Amino acid sequence: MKTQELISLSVLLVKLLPAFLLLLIGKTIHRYAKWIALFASLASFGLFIAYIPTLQQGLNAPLNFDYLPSMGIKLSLNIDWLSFPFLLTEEFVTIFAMIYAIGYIKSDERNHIFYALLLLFSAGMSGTTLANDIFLFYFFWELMLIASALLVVNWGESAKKTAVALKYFIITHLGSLFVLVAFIMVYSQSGTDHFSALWDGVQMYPETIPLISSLFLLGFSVKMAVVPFHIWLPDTHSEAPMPVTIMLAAAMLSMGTYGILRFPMSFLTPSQFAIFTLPMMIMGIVSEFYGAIMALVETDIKRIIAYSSVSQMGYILFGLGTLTLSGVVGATLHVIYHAIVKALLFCCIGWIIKAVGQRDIQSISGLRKKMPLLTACAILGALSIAGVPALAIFNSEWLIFSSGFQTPYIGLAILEILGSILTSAYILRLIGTMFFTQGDSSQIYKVPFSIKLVTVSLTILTVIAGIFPKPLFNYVVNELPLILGGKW
Amino acid sequence: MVTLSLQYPQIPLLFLGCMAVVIFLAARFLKITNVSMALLTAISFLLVLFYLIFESQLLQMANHSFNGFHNNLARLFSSTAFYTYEPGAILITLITFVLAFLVSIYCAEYLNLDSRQHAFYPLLILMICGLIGMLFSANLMVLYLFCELMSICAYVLVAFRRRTDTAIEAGFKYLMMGSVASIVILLGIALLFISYGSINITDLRGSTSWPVQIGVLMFFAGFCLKSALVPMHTWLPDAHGRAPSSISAILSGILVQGVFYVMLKVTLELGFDHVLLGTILLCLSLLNIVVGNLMGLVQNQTKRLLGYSTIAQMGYIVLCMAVGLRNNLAIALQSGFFIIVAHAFAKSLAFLTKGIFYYYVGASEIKHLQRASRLPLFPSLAFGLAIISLSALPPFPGFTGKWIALTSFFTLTDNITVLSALIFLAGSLVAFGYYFPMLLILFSKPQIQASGDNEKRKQKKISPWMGIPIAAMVISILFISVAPQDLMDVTMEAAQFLMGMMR
Repeated sequence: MKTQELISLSVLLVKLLPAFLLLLIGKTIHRYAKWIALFASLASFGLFIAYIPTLQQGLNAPLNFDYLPSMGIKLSLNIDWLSFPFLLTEEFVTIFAMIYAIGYIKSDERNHIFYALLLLFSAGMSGTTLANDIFLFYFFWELMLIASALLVVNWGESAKKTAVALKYFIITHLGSLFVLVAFIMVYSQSGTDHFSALWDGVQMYPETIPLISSLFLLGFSVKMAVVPFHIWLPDTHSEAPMPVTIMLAAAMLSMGTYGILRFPMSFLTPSQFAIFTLPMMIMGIVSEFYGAIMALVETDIKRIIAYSSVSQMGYILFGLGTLTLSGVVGATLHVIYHAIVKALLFCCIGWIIKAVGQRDIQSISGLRKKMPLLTACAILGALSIAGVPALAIFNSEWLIFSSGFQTPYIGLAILEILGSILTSAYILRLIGTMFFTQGDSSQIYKVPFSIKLVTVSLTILTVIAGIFPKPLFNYVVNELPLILGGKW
Repeated sequence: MVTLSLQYPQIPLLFLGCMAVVIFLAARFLKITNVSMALLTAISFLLVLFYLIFESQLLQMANHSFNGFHNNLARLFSSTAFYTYEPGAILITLITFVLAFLVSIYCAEYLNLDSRQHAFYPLLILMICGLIGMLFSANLMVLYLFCELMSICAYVLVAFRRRTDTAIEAGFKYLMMGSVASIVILLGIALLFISYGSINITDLRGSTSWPVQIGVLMFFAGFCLKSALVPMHTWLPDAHGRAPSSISAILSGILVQGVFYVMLKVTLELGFDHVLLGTILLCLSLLNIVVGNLMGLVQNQTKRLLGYSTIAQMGYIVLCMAVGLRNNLAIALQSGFFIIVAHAFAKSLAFLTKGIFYYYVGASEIKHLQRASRLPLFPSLAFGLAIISLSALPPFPGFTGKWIALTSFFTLTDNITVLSALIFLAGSLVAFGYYFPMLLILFSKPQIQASGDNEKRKQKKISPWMGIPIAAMVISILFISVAPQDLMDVTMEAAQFLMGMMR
């Protein structure tokens, strides 16, 4: 077994093993649980970074394990350029969420379970991106769901947490079942579950291809939470404790994008996939408008940002749907940038909730004078999500918008751009009401240092990522030969 | 790797019969304790298990040291009452003995609060004996007798806690419905005997006269009731919900499936057309999936819920078998066997951990599961594992079984199979509606307790008699998850055997 084969496994194991350790004997070491979890996520990130040179030299090799030889099922792990941006997103979001949790979650005797589940949730996401076969992909896909649902039900912030978690679980699992049916159809036609074998060209019955692709799209849209499959998102995001919300919004939503890129788009040729262009673009626009309008009328500040995710996922789906070079690159970059900015916004919201103890937008006012640091961070985050140049999201939005004009549907492209006005509207309303209105919010509570640290570092990252998009762009462009076969 | 043949099924049956008497007498006259009874029972199951695994080596060894041993044995047992090569039956037998062994160890602690243990263990042994006899019998009368032995023991064991009304009620209901089934089976056998003049299963083929047809149908219907196929399932949730958890584990885990397998094998052997049989079973199985999953949603007793889950899981098993029968598809039959094994371990693990919750913190309703937080985390994790495997989440055996089943369904293109595959999937989605809330309640934060309650909050320790069997089951489930290929080979042999019967 070569070293480069083992790294993809170790990225996973450094999260899975501490998680099981914490679950089994955590009671005795629950005081150190947070440090173990933080260290595990840092180690995982470090190993992943160490893998980049190998990836650049093209030496990456899958790690295979014969699971059910008589059925042709082979478990396999691999990192390639397609999974790279998503793994990167997931890894850094985990670290920020962990640090945030240290300040946000009160220490009690069940701490170790929280951190174990957070690690499992994160491992589920990295496993989903690392998996190189259908079986393992589905396993980690479900692990991600179970761990996050258990986090919501145990550490939810209001009395209806059980109902919310159940709704989240059932709806998202319905999406998973769509994906499972598509997997089974692909597998029973090709007889293999290995990605590389699938990409070498699967002979599938032409009449089933639209069905399989639409099943994939439906299933992954549920995870992406585009309208009308978004119904689980606002409740879950506003109910979950803030570190989990950060992971859900910044990292887990992107798994749906990854699924769409990985499955229907990679192993079908563009001409086979072309019939989905229009539906995906329209769904993207509907999602963008709906999310933004709902964010305009919501009064709970956490739900406003949650609806903003629905809106942002609309951009991504639109970019994917154009099936153009800039569209796909823009969508992938948008995943990373959206992760940074959404994490930043949720961090700010968490900071406000901790400091003011209120979640209703009407009852929060005049924070500008009392919390200047927070004001700066929130304004940068807001400007970023509104698409102001030189901040993170602008670059990817530019690519997505321009991709719309490369398709025959110019009208849709114009609609897409118009929709971004709504984004500015809701985010300015939020910022304006909370920071720039006259009035005195009552008492300001002290906020833990780790929350401030994460918020400030995410703000810096937003600016850096906006000013220097080149390195990320270079990495992301590498995925295209995998998807497009050099054709588009 | 176990070879799936058993030359002398009489030997374990005789041995178990003797052990039942020995344990009863020892308990009655020597007044041995519950733990020693449980250990004796466990050891006898273990010996039989060893015999099953090493039969060929043992026979060789015996033949080597006593010349002509094999021949004498053959002369002694030269009846045609039993099958000798029966991979499906052996697979089920092996699982039965593993479960029975673990359950009897578990009972060493679990039955401490009950009385009349001297009746419990012999009945348990005889019930297992009846099931094994049924699986191997090649003669309708022998089959009927073993079936009655098993059923009667099961009725009594269901009503074992006779101080509670509900147990008596459930046992009585089971008895009434089971007896009706027995009478119908007996009538069917009588009709077959009148037509053929023989009761050896292998002789009874070829006739298409109406008494034979009706006889086979009656046999089929009787066994449908005993294997809880909807609409003849109503006894199961009561019986499995009221019996002691250790008994429910065996009843739900393997007994119902064993009876179903016997029915399948014998009706095929009697010359029932396999396409027709498959079609009937397909309809029944879809009913099972729908009714089991929907009724599971409205339960508030954990064990009743697990009972309904058994009905739904029976639906999946029967559906796999039915698709295999209709389309001559070995891999669908194989997936049926795979789900039987996966379900056996998961369901009995669920029942046994449920027993722990009941024994230590008195949790019988679903909302009481929250009290599990007073126990160590281990049983909760085991229960969670069982539920997750039952609800077919990867990578646990339940998922692997369903994956094999569904992939085999989707290789077929007829509408009925695809439709039933969709009902299969819809059923497993609905099942989350009751499995997941259980997990949520089990792992949710306990209510803040009133002060002065500190003694109660102190953690209880779990007796190793209960802990070890559960750990063993957890390990075997994990083992099947990691290396399912061995099980695939074994189930393939069983499926091929059934394929050979579809002539």
